[in-house]
Amino acid sequence: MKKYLLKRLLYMALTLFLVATITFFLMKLMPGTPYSNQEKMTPQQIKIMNQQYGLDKPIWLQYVIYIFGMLHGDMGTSFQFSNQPVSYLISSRIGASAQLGVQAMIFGVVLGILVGSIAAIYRNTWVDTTATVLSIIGKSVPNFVLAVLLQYYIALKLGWFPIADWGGFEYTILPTIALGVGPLAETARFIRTGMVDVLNSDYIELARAKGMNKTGIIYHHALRNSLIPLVTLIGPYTVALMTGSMVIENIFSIPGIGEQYVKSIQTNDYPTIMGVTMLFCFGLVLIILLTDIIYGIIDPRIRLTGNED
Amino acid sequence: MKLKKFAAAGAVVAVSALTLAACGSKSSDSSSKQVLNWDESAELPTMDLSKATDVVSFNALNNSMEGLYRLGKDSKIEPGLAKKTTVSNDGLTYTFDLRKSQWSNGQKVTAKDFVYSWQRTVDPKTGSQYAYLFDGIKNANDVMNGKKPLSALGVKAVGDYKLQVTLDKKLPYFKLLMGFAVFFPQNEKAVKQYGDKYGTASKYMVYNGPFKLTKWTGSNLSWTLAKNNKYWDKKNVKLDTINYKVNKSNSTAYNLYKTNKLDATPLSSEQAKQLKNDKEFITRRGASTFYFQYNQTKKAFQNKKIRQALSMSINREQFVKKVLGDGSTVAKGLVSSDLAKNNGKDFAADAYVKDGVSHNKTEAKKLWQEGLKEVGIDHLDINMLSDDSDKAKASTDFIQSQIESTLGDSVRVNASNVPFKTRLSRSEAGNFDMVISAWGADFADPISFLDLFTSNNSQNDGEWKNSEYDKLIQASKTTDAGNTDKRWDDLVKAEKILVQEQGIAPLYQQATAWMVKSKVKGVIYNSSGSNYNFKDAYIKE
Amino acid sequence: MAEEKINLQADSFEPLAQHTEDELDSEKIAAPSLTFSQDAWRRLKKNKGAVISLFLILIMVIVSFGSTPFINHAELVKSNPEYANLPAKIPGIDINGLNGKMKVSGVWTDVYKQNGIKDSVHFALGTDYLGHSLAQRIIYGTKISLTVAIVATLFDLLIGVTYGIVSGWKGGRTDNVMQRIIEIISSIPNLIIVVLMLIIFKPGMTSIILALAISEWTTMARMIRAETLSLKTEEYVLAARTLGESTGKIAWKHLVPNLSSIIIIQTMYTIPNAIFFEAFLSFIGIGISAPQTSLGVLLNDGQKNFQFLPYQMWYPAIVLVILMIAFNLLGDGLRDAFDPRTRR
Repeated sequence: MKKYLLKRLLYMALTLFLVATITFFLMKLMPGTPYSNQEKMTPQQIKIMNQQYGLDKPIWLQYVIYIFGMLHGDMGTSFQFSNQPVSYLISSRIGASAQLGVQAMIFGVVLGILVGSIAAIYRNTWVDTTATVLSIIGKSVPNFVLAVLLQYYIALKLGWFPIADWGGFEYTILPTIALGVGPLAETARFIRTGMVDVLNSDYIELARAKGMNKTGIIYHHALRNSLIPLVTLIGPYTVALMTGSMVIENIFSIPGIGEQYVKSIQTNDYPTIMGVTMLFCFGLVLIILLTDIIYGIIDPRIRLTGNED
Repeated sequence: MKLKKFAAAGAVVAVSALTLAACGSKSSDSSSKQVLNWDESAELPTMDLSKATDVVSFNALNNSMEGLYRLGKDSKIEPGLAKKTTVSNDGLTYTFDLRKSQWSNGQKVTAKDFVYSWQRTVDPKTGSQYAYLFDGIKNANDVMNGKKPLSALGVKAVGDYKLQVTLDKKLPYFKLLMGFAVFFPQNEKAVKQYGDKYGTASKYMVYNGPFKLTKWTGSNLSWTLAKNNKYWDKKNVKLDTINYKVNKSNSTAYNLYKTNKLDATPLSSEQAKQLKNDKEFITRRGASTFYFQYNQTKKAFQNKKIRQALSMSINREQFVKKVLGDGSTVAKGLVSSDLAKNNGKDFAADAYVKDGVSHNKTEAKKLWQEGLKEVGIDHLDINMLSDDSDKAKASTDFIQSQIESTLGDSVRVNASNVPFKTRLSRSEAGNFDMVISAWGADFADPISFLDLFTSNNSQNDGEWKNSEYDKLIQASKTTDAGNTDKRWDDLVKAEKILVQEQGIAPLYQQATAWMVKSKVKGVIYNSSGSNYNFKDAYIKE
Repeated sequence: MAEEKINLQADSFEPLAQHTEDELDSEKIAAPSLTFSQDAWRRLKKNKGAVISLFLILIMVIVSFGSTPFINHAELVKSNPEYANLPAKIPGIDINGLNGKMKVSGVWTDVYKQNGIKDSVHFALGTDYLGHSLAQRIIYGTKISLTVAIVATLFDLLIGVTYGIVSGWKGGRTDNVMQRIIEIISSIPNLIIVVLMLIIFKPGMTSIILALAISEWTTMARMIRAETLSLKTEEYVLAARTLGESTGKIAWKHLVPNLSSIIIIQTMYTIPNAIFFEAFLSFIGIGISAPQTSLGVLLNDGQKNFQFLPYQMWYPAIVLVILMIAFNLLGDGLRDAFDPRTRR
């Protein structure tokens, strides 16, 4: 196990390094400069500015500096916010995004498991049909449409929650729902499929024949076995939540990373683009590692060993 | 100056202005505190006035700092820190007597703070993108190019309360410049003390204006301007707080406005069309013009008839009324309307070339066929470059439709809507056939627009060249510089050539539609420069 | 229990007719033999939801792709700003919302009359801000969205399944290397890939499909690999291996059928994913570019005007939701049909 972990961590570092490298060189291909007013600046000013941003150095040297900075948590200075270190921009905004992401994930997965299980238990009844149709609709509505609907009907018309902004818990509810419905629907369908599979299997028949009660069957066999493949979906959910956050944070005016990311792309703020990209990658790589470990723990068929051969 | 956003005409100093029409209906909520809730469409990037480049920063600076003057309604010069101004007979030396006032940290605001601030801005090490405005102040250009030391800049402190500025050449708009944030003082101690952090959060900054900035962390989406009790004229400041909130979605902002969470919000085109009859609806016209540049390094666009045909196929009237619908008006020419006047005549009206900016289907068709024949082609694919904002997309959609349905199958327009900065770099690289560009006046003089299309100007992305045009512009700066009427005629002639020859095709002069609660009074909006001045604003329930 | 004695008489038994037709018949299997796909089709037909969905999808495909000769470039480009933002008006129907009336500040107002539009002019689903017929836009948008989704999904299937099976089956070093590659690719947010593509290529359909192809197949590959890993240890696979069956044959005969449910579910998720991703791109401003349009672009435009012109969001949303439900129900139906384990 220890050996396995060590190996995985090593791979993680390699992944991040490769992503950093790819992003760095791709960013160098992007057109535009950090100066919004370049034509009005004197050559002397531009020269000095380039020196300050380190843009006068050969690309390979910039690359080396960038990678070494990265190792020390220094992601450079934002082009868009003058003198603002990217690490500060990220750290001051990550809280909102993380909270929203975690809440949406919990909301989606927990409710999804519940809805999915109910649908599976009452399969082929109206309960199942309703749950299925609802979860399909949940999956079919883009989250920005849902966000607009929630904002208009729940917040503006009914006045139950704030329209936008970021403050106490009540501000997080609508964005969490808008963000979490996707994972919810997906989880529900996944769990239902998995559980129906399990409930039709021979060992469940056996358990039933042996007189095990329904709750026991569902809890010990059906649910547990259908949760296993669900773990593999957590990675993709994370990606979906990251993408979704760009939309949701924009509509609900939440000071988060996703919103920052879109802005930095629109303003050619390379250091911030690279910083946030690295952050997203790091988060994702970490989640994937965790899910693999969890997968190994709950599914004994997959062994976590250092030597795969 | 290039427009950062369609919604935000951030130009520097100009005269035309609109103020809030104060219609006196009473609103229901009552509170003794004077609080204004204002919508902003983008984050506040910096409070370092030497480094600010955008409207949001300039607005915050204008209200939390004070310079020699403060621009009032219609860009009228109102007293700021300058108690008395003496101008030498040759118009090249200005002496300002400063009033006694304080920074928010309790230190005195002195003439040295101005000298420090100005030197810091023109110092090439600072990398100020607005340092070019110092052009005309003695030695400014040499200092910016590192050819002369900072101390050579034509500004010096005579004692604590006397500031002397020397110019290289007469600047008719000099006083207007002094009301712009780039020329405000900075507290040396604060700059040194906060170092790299100076101006990156509300606490790393000292203020001397009507308000103090608070609750700004440098990256958040809201901040507050609170009344500054150390401000010299605090008795005339009525608002206690101005809460800014960044909403990037117009519909979110409007929903907040509807529930009284915001007192003012800008509108999208579609919202403006729906709300145009509302009593809280206002439009604010900027000193900025949108126009086409044709890439004249390409053979087809060197043909005047082709350029004319393209311009004539666009129904601009329908465009501003039905598509934009936000109060924007058809551009009379490159120079925006109400920017500059001579002998009571507006420049835009004087230089108006009707054919250059009007719709004529039959003429367009005729010219197009002739043009194609002259160039020797029977079909033209046009790559039209523009920004990716909603307004820009509506523009390209409409223009594409107009050109193709007027000129028929022999033309195909492909629109590329790209982010602002990408659009700039593609324009500079000449990577377009037609590009929709925009320009806002740097100062209230036609030259601020007309300089763009001299042969070697870096803004002349289409590389249109006309020697007569160049000569007229040159004359206005040299031989005719002292003669107001002659200079005016030169500039009028130059613009006429530009539009007649279709060096560019002016499209529209932009306006922004807003909803502002009727209880909000006394907000001063200037079409360029630091747009908003809240010093005199108040809430009347 | 006491044993009962049964007295059997000799005539209780009857000899089987020898070498008669009857004897051969009794050995025959009664039902006609069916291939795998015939069997699946038979089961699918029993599922009403799936059949209706299949028809809906077919209708949408036929209508949207069949419209190609009618909704051509010239038609897309034509604009009529004087007809801008009109609500739905269907002659002969007098239901508010479908008769040219729309709620303007809370009051049903005849927008057609208000704008002085002739009686003969009517738009079944209203118009957009440039006076384009929304119905026409939606049909065209559906075509584009479907094209993007289907092409991207084909990539997804092809790359993802092959990659997943190879990775899971080979295991060991190959698996490891392949997983690292997946990790790296899926650690780069799709958005970055798309933004870069839009700079390298022209913004538009091709770049979006390519970007989806590059970034979306990894989920499929990951799931297929995970499932292959556990299938690998199943007895029947072991048996096949021991019997010396070739790897390709095992993959085709044993793995693919057993993976089919995952493949189908995942495919049915990939189509909406692709449509969503395209919609997301239009939200942040780098989607399909004019004069082309897609359901995502229409939804995004509608979303912005929802307060005033709700129909501009509702109609494309309804079409999108019907499309998605149809794909999902068909997916369920196919899954049940292909995978007898979940047959009910």
